[in-house]
Amino acid sequence: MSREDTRNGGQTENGKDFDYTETAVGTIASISSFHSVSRVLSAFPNIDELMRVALEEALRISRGKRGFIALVNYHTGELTIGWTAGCGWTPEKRSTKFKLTREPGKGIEGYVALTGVPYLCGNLESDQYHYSLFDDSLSRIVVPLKGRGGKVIGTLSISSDHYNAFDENDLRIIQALADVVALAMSTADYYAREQKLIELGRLLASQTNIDALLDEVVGAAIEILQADDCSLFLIEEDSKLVLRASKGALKEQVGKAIYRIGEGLTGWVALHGEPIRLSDVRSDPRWKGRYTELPAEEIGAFLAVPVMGQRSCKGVLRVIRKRPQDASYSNPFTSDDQNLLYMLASQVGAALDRVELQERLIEAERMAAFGEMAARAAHMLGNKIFSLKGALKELRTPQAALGEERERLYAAVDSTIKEMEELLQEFRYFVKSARIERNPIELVSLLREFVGHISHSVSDVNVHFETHLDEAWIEGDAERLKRCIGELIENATYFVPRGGVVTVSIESSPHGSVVITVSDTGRGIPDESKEKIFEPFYSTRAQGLGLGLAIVKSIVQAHGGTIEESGRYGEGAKFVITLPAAKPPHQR
Amino acid sequence: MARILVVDDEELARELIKRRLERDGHKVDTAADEASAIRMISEAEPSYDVVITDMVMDTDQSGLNVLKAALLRDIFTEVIVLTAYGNVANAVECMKRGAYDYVEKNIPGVDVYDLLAMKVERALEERRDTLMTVHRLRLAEQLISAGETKSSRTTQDDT
Repeated sequence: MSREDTRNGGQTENGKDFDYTETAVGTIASISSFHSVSRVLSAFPNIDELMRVALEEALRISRGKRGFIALVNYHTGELTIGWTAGCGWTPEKRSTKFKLTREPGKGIEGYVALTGVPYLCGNLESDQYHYSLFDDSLSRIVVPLKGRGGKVIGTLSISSDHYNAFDENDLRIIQALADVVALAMSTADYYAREQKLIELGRLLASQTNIDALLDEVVGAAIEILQADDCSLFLIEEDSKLVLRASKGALKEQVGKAIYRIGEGLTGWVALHGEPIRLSDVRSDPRWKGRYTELPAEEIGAFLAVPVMGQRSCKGVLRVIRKRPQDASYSNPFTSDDQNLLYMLASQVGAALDRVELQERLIEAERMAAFGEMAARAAHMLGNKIFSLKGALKELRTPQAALGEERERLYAAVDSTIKEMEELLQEFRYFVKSARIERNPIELVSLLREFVGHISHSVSDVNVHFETHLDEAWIEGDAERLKRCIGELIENATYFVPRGGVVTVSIESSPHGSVVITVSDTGRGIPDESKEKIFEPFYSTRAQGLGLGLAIVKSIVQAHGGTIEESGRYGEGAKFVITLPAAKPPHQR
Repeated sequence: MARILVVDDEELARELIKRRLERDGHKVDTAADEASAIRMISEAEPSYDVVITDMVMDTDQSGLNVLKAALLRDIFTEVIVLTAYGNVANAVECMKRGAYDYVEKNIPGVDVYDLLAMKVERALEERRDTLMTVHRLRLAEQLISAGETKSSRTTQDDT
């Protein structure tokens, strides 16, 4: 570092005589200090230990009395003390905050953090920036901790109770120590961001509820990028960018805030598939300001990246930072931030692709099932119509039996028509089963009431409801879910012997799911049939299309859940439905 | 009067076909599924003249299995296969394997019961013809073998 790089405050003359012996001793001391620091560094990531050792070594080399490391918070525009060394520190003194400012008397730390220039002062009494923490502090070194891209992330301060206690050489060594500390902090920060991304990746790979997934992404982006807000727009079928998730003021606008592709900054990103990174959004000609997380004048930094799927742009992920109150510093998004947001967006793209693929697979399965179902329904209805025609003919035939026989035929016609209606209804349920509404549902009260209602109408089988939970919330379609549980109960009562028991229970799983179990005391399902029972048209009962469990599975899947039969053959059937849990409406 | 077996899993259809054919003076038994149909066919003494079977019951192949059982019991039993929508391919397969005919249950504007009764009459004629032919062949065979015996005896006499 050249002398010009250093700001000398107060008394600028070098207070010490140049002494070769002292220099040599100093060099040896500094080498041993770096050795200590690097030893701690190799035991990374214990950042506290590193800070402690770095401060102690800084004091030892410079023969300073006290030292501290403060960290910049660009949101508040303040420096907060993170680590201290030397005597006399009280909790009050430790909680001192320095403003990020050039204003005199507010602290050298704020000035150094703002300018990024190291500062050496031999007489604090006459220093214009100095803010007195300790009355006995007379000289001071303050050096910036710089992260990647030269952004100041904090300061390291050393003070002495002597005038002119430090020289340029001390300053250089302290700065070198600070650089090591800054590097370690940046690495720790990267490590933490990486962990967050991995965690999010894992979540994105397992989550099937798109809205919950997008909410997580927005939250993670704010945390990782230290942004003030984040919004995610997705391109819907009609080529419009629709807001799907946001945290702050725009949250109310989810589903309502819509950009045309190409409109505004966000629309531009979607159209060109390229990012936009700005400090002053209003100076950009593309800026429209239709939907903003903050009033335009309060936005200090803007970054938007496209969410790329395998084949096309699927949407836009954008983050903003507030403009600092103090105009003397800014907090723009860096190219590192941009890369990070890109990474997040690509994970979202991959997750959307995956969900889409899953939906298409389910859809393909359904279409295949539709084809077969139509053929089967035609066949079944054809058979019934054949019977009906025969019955009508018989009733019209003059020599046909009269009286009781005639009544019996009429009854048969009635029941055949009823069977046909039931068939058509089943058909319709299957067609509609994948189309569900999404509302907050409290399952405990819903199922308690529903099961209670059913148990009254079933006479020779006992239907129970059990749970330890007070409430269990999910997002879904109450009517469809009741149909699911109703179908499972109805199925169970069909196979359970007289006096048997059917139990419906709800538990919560540690993985954020709600588990509904319908078990019975019947014979159960043989292992070889466990998979087949959910296939359309698989039935061991004479009536109907055999769509019952296929409909149940379809409804559960539409809720992002799974269903399996996990009972042991001979001990009764046990159907386990796992649904993604949702937060209660009052906690949102 | 002929002996007829009607196989259909629809109770009403089964009963109505039986009534219709009984009105023509036939003796009609019914079976509700593939297994009981096969049992009745193999135990029938004498064999059924005509078997009418629905194509799709327990499985898509039920009609085919009933056909096999009927022909195994008596190669000259006439089998008529009934099909509802969408099973003509299977019915044609039955024809290839020796069924007399197939009848679609749902032909708009057609009284399929009468159609079926007519096909039964034709099938019975066919069976009578076939049996007659077989009878004649047997006679002819007897005559020929009698003639051969005679001529061989003559030849022996010559030596």
